[in-house]
Amino acid sequence: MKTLKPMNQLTIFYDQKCGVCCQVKAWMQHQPAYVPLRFLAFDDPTALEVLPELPSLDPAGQIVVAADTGEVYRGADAWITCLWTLRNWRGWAKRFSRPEWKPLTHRLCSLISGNRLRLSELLKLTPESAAKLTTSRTECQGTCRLD
Amino acid sequence: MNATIINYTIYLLLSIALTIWVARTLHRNGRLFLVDCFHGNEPLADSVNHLLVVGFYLLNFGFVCYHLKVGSPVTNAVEVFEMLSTKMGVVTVVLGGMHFFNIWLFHRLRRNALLDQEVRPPAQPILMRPEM
Repeated sequence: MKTLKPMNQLTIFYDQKCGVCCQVKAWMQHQPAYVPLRFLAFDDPTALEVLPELPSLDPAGQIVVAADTGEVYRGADAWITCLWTLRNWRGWAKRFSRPEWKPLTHRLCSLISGNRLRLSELLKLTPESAAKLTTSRTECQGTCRLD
Repeated sequence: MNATIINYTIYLLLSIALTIWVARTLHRNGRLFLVDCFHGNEPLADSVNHLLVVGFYLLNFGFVCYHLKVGSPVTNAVEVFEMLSTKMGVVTVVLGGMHFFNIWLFHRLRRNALLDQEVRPPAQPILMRPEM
């Protein structure tokens, strides 16, 4: 039996103009993960260098992720892959990928992706607020004083 | 020696024997699960197994002692049997519950260990590229 090479890095092509996406990115960066995560805005020129096929996968429509082992996932499968890389969420990734859950996962992901800008507006989430959250968390490491 | 004392003695002997039997069964058969959970690290599996059994003994002996007292004094042989049956029934149900809890714990530990070993996500790739 051929043994599969383990995944050593996951590149996530996210929407840097979407508040919800940036918030999720900040959240993921602070979760313990099995594999290192690299975040690249899908409209960043570097993204094209990493994944030349990216424009044909419509990353503005649904999230796209690429593993260093060569697999590229899109939409609900990409979300499942993201959860699977997080230590505390791998069990949930397994649950969401079950045949009885998968149609719901697909529908939910399409719904959120399609309305992510409206959702960001509704929740008052901006890319700037998420960036602030990331910076404060990284700089303080839980030891900052609140003045 | 009156009937109540006989009742207490038989109850304690039976409960303790039953607890020891269940604990030994768990200790013997749970080891394999734990060795698998800890990726073949036998000393660690043995240590966790021992700690689990100690917890099991403490909880069950505690419950057996707590449940010892009878409401009204036992006067004859029929009442000894009836009281013993009620007491032993409760102890057996509690032991069974604890036993299933332990099995569930072993199963959960093993499932988490299997999750740690996975190399690919349970998702369908849209594209396969050469390795990056």
